[in-house]
Amino acid sequence: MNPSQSLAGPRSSSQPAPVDARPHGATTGSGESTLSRRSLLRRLGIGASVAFVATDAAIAYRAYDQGVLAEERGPAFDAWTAWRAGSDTLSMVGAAVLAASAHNTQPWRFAVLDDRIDLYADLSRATGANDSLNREFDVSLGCALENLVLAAGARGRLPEVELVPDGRGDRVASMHLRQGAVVNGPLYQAIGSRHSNRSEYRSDPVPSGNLAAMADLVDDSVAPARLVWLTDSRDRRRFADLLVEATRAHVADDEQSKASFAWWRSDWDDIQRHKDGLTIDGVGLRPLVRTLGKLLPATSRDSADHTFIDRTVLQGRSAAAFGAIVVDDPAAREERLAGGRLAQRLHLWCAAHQLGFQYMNQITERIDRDHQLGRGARFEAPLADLVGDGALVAFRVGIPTVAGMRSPRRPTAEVLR
Amino acid sequence: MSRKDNASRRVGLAAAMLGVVAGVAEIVAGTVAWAGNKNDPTTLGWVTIGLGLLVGSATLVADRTLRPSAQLGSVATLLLCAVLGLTTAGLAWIPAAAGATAASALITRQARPAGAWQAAIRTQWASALVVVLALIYLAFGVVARDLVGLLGISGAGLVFAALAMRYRSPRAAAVALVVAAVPFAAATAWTVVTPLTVVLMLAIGLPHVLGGRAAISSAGGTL
Repeated sequence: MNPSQSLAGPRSSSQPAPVDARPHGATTGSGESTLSRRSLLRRLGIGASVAFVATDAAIAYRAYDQGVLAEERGPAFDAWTAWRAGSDTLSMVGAAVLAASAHNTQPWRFAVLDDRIDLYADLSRATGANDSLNREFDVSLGCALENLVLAAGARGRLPEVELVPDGRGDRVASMHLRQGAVVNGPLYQAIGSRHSNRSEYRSDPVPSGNLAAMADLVDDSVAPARLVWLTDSRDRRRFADLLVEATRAHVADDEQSKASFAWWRSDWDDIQRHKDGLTIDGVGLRPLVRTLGKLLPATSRDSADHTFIDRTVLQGRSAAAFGAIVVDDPAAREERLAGGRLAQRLHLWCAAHQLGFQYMNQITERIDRDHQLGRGARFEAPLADLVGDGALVAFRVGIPTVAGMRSPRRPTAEVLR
Repeated sequence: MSRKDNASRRVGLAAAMLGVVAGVAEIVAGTVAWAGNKNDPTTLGWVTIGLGLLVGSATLVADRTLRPSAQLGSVATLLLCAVLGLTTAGLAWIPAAAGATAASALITRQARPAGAWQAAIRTQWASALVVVLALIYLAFGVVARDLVGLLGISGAGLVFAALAMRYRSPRAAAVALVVAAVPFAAATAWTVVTPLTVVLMLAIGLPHVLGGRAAISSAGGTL
């Protein structure tokens, strides 16, 4: 009797005919089954196919989970598309939150009043040993202030900026608003397309006319901040070497390395939740490499440090020009804010002219760290030798090989006091 | 209907209900630890409800069909939903996952006639794998949005159509498979996943659809 019949009982007309369950190629002559070569190969083929498809499905799930096909989308990126929305004053804050900030910490809060907007420092967003004396912290606030001023002009308001109105309090600036003419220039228009570009730059030099136009952006509103260019190949090489040396010192300093890595976001959920920090999209990698970086397990601090050095070597070599913003006293908050405003202005100009722009602050970070630890700042003299005294921040410009990408942003509603 | 049949249906439908409840709870509760601290609990809640309904549908299909391939598909759907729900609703999905797994086990135990599933696997394995690959296209198409997303969604639809037409016109099915698979992979080549998927889809799917008529004659039917 066929065993299937005994289990299934009488077959109805709607039931399919019983199927021979023996695999193709099996024989039962002596009670022992043997597989033919063809049957074995067939089974191996099925097994391999299932394994490949299962692997593909697992990679697909990882890609979905890491937002590979949803780049620059989601709550963490909405601020980039909604920055002009809302009332006049809220849209000014919307522009301010898109400003550059060290490690994308966005260390700002805003209070919107009838006739002014106050900018506050959020010290919970300081990067500790990475920015030992809060230099970049203040520069970041200056960047936000510049966007605030540009947005006020675009809304027909005449902004009057008062720096550090309370002395050393956490209110770092007040922008008083009066009616004025509408100033809707290219810098304002570039706010939504400004991104740090950490890719390798092309070897073509930046036309001298561009560098001169950027130098023209320095005016009384950012005094005493000034701009110094390093375009000569010898100076660029010296600066690039200094950068790499400072990066190695940064990596060798465990505390500084940890403080920096704390703002690295490799998980898509983390990015959407925190809406800040550094992401793989911002590294300036080519799309395929970027995707592989997202699919692979999260990077370790050690690995991130090695990549930091390697990328710095590449970035230093490919810079068409280095720039430095210098002030009279880099320790003074007002001057840092002014320098930040100038830096943001330059960055916006580059965005408007399809030029890459990236802060290169490893040298000043090491200078501040050495001061904090009470030891001789070994990078201070070599830097002064290149750009003069009072270097506040440094950056590189050039023609990028990969387009800059949006970084996560906290929307207006999350930064209001 | 036997008591065992009733048991699989009851367990499967209970799992479906628990799944729907988990989805609703996630939507109502928002971002909470027991639902996996999701950033977008509303969307994922709806996906969870969808998975619950899928568990119910798979249970009913298994309950009402005697076709081994459909039963096998139902079991695979139940197990897939059991795993996927954990990623959309976290701990809230565990009762539903347990129910769906139990239902799939009961359906497997009741499989008739013995050996029919192996035969179904023997003739339908390639179709099943291509369907899985098409579902990846569909999911990526939905996520990608815009014109590129449309390529993925329509590509998945065309793959299903190619599988359906493979007995009548194997060559047309093969052309449809290529037309379905290549554009989306080309447009999203940087994602790594879609190029890998298209290679597998064509490597497994093309011999399968081109051998459609041979499969009928060797299997004595389409199962």
